[in-house]
Amino acid sequence: MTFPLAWPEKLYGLILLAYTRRFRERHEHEMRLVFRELLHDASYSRARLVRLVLIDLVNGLRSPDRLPSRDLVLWSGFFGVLIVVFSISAQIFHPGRYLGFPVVAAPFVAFIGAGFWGSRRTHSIAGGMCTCLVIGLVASSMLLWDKLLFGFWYYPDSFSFVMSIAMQAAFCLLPGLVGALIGAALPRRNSAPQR
Amino acid sequence: MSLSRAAFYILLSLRDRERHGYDILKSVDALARGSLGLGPATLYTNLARMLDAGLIVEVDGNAEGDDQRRRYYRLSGQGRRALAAEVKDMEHAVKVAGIRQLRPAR
Repeated sequence: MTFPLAWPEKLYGLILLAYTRRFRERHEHEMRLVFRELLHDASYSRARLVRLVLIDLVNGLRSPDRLPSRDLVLWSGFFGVLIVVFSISAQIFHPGRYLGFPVVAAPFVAFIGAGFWGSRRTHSIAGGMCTCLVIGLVASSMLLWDKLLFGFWYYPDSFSFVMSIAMQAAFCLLPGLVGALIGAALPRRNSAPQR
Repeated sequence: MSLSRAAFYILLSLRDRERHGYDILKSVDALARGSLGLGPATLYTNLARMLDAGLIVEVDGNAEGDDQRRRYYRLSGQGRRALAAEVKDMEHAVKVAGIRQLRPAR
């Protein structure tokens, strides 16, 4: 891009990172041009433009062309299941025992790795974040397994339980973003994204 | 092949001449009376699918002072036939609705 960018165009450029690299490689330049023209089109208010961009993003959730694939989600789910299995095994074989390393740091580092993996696999930051979110959601089901298998229940009501699951899932997003950014920033070989 | 609403309006906008993305967006907006909410990403997803299906073709833009990388799109013969078939289906649907008095009252 040789022309100077206004801040809405810069913001739009960031939003485009939510799409897969393959989609961006094919359409990013044209989409930026269209957005720029819409920005200067008096018949499109800023509110209408924001609505269009949001509709685009929501439509993207249903479009296999634009979002990381089912394959990636399945692999991420599988990694989440591994974490659950590890947790259950640890409870069975070492009930209530401190494992000897800082337990918060371990998943934090693991999620950096997961974000990196997803980002490298899909060639997109969104892919890395998607990977971490799915792993986080599946792994957070440990709270449920703790109750069903070992009778541990720390929540006064179901709302607290749901919020705990949401917090555990959200915990993965920050390290996931770090990993995804590293994955996107590092140079890559000329391989097609696996979506 | 049944067309999506967005694809139908995109083909309709290309029936008379070749257009670039922004031009298509404006034309679709006018044809659909703003009811479609077509943004840049949805537009290019549809264009890519229609290119793959052979309904439209990409042509070189030659407008002076235009960005050289800007792409223009034109309706292919197959696209023209698909559009005609869709219009025929719609006419039939409207006719059936009229016969059965299903049209909304004005």
